[in-house]
Amino acid sequence: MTALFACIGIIILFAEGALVVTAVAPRTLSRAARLALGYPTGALGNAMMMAGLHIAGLPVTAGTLLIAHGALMLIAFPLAWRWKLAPQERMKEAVPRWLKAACGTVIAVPLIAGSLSAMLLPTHEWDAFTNWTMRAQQIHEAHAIVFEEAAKPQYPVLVHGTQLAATIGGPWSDTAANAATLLLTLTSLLGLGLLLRDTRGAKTALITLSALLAIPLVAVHVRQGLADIHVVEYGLLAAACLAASSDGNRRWLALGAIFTAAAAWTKLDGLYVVLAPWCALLLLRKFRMEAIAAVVLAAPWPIIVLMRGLPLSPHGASFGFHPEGVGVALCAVFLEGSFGVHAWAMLLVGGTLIAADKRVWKEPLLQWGMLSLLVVLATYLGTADIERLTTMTAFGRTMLLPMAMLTVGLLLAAKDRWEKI
Amino acid sequence: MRRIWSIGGLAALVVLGLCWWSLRPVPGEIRMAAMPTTTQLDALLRKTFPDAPYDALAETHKNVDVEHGFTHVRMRYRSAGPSLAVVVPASVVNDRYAFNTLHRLAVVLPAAADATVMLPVLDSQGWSGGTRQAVVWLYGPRNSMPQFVDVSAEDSGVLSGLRQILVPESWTIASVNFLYGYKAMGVSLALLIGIAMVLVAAWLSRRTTMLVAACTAALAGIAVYDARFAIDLVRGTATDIAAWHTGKTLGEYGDLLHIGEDLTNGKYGSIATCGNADAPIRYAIFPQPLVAPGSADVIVLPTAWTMQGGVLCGDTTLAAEITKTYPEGGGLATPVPPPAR
Repeated sequence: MTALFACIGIIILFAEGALVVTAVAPRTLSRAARLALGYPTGALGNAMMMAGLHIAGLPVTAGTLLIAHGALMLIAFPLAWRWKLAPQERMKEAVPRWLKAACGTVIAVPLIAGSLSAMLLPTHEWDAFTNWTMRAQQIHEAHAIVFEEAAKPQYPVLVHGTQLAATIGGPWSDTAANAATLLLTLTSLLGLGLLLRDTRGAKTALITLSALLAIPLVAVHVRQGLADIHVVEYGLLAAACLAASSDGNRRWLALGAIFTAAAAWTKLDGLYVVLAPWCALLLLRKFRMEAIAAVVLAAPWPIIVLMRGLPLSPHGASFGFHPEGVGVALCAVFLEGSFGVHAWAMLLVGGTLIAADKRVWKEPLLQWGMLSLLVVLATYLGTADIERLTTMTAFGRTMLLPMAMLTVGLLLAAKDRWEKI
Repeated sequence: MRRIWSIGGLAALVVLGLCWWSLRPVPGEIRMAAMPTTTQLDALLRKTFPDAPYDALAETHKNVDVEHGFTHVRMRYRSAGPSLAVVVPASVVNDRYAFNTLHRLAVVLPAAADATVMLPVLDSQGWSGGTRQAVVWLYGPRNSMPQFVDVSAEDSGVLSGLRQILVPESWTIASVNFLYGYKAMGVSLALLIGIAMVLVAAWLSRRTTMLVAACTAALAGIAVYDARFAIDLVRGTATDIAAWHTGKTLGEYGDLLHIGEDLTNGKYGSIATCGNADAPIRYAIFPQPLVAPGSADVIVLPTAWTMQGGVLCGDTTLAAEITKTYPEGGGLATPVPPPAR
């Protein structure tokens, strides 16, 4: 029965999210991509519904969530139905067999290892026992978003809600909860790959996904337990939509706004490394509506937190430059194993691009990557969080998004200039 | 083109030959395991000395400090029974020996009247070609302590540091905040591959455009590093899954998650924890709350040490007796009421 309820919850998120994506996204987005992106989108809707039930003073139960999801699907269905898929004139790109095999291996190894780990091992991340899976279990038991009993009550609830969707129909199941977040990773990465295939071609999609999953710390985090990987997933989805909007279709930005908000609903870091750069980049390009849309979608949770008198960060803030952290940060990025040789690869490719074409600085993903990098470095070198850098308790995880963003940004910029430089 | 392949093939043969040469065992060398967390060290102590109370164990240590870099510590020792040897590369900071406990290596040594072993310090994540200090500990029963006869530094040559590439990437199961990376001869492998990428890009740029050369070299470098890491990712995952499904142990948690399962499946009354067991146990038994050890029906011990007066609970002694032990040293205890006056 537990498996049955988990499947029902997951299918609802898929269906609802796919309807929303179909209603919002450009018609050129393939059916496969809409379905894959449905689950990550449905997870955002689920989190917002939980917050809505909390504000309305209603219990968070299978019944109330079912009604809320049903209502959203009723609204989304006619909007989605209007936009039939356009005949697909997708670029036909022959991918050499050796490239498929090589990229396929690089992609498959961490995904299979991570999936087996997530499904065959019990929850084992310490922060999952305190901030993530534990709080989802508390919500499951209390039928309400818990604050007083939670270790970090200001943490947003997208991850908790996703785990709840798979477990709320029956008794708490550790396996079902982990399966739910594993599916979030798998569908997000699949959706990213399909989105890149639809907009940039199959070769670019394969190479980009391979480069992403070749970041060692990303590969390890596919094992689930922490929320950092989901911030990266949503950030990259938003960035891919931003890159795709270069074709002039603003619906990409509407879709990107959803993923941007989802990052903010996943972890508070999402406010600073995803939402803030998104708004800055869109306002620079005079796309005010989509920037406002992301803020409106993301705002409810910070408002709830502030109204409860909680800070927006569980870490204290005192400011001052800590030069001793510079060496540690450089070692972590260039010499240690969290990011492998990606930093060196970025210097090589980025240096080549910039030397040949200064306009590469205008690439939105590179700007986003640099902005998020600056935010992370400023946080660790300029506040009391320096301790979490020198003890390496969080710096590596927080750097995942800037490194992933710069990796993808450089690959897309290189693709556009291939053989011209 | 044929000349390129010949030169490349020759270079590969030379590198492989050097690697093979670096892997040759040093006479007397023993294999040591990484012991990054105190919990793991505690569990190994418990398994090595299963019948000894905690306060019946002691340790002795020696510092190694030489003018030149070294790869091994030659240790001559004597011990009436098994002993636990731990070594860690160190440095001298403000006249004190400083080291990172995450870089410890450990091995259980057999009893010996007079034996010499070579402890491979170069297998530690903290070793580099410039390591000139190390600290060595011997653990054993207080009443028959193992003894150092002689400790000295040995250098098997800088090329033996090539085998550092084989030191597995490791991460603690409880939290993956960063990865150490790989080294060769004490130098970061990421740096070595990074330099190689630039050289390959420069060489390729004579045959194609700059960007194609840079991207090809970059992706090739990423593929090489990823190939090395993938071995450890697969091996680590397989080890964790096998450990859980055959022995119900997991990384530095040891028996803790198994104990959590047992507590949810049995009827144990009120539950308390000692040491750093609270978060996983609280998750396992939820919604039942944890209570203070003094008022619990059963107490979870990450490592079940007996002490004079009871059991070791964190940094204190608790009046309790161990009622159940687990294979990795964990256990359950029940409080013992104070004796009637």
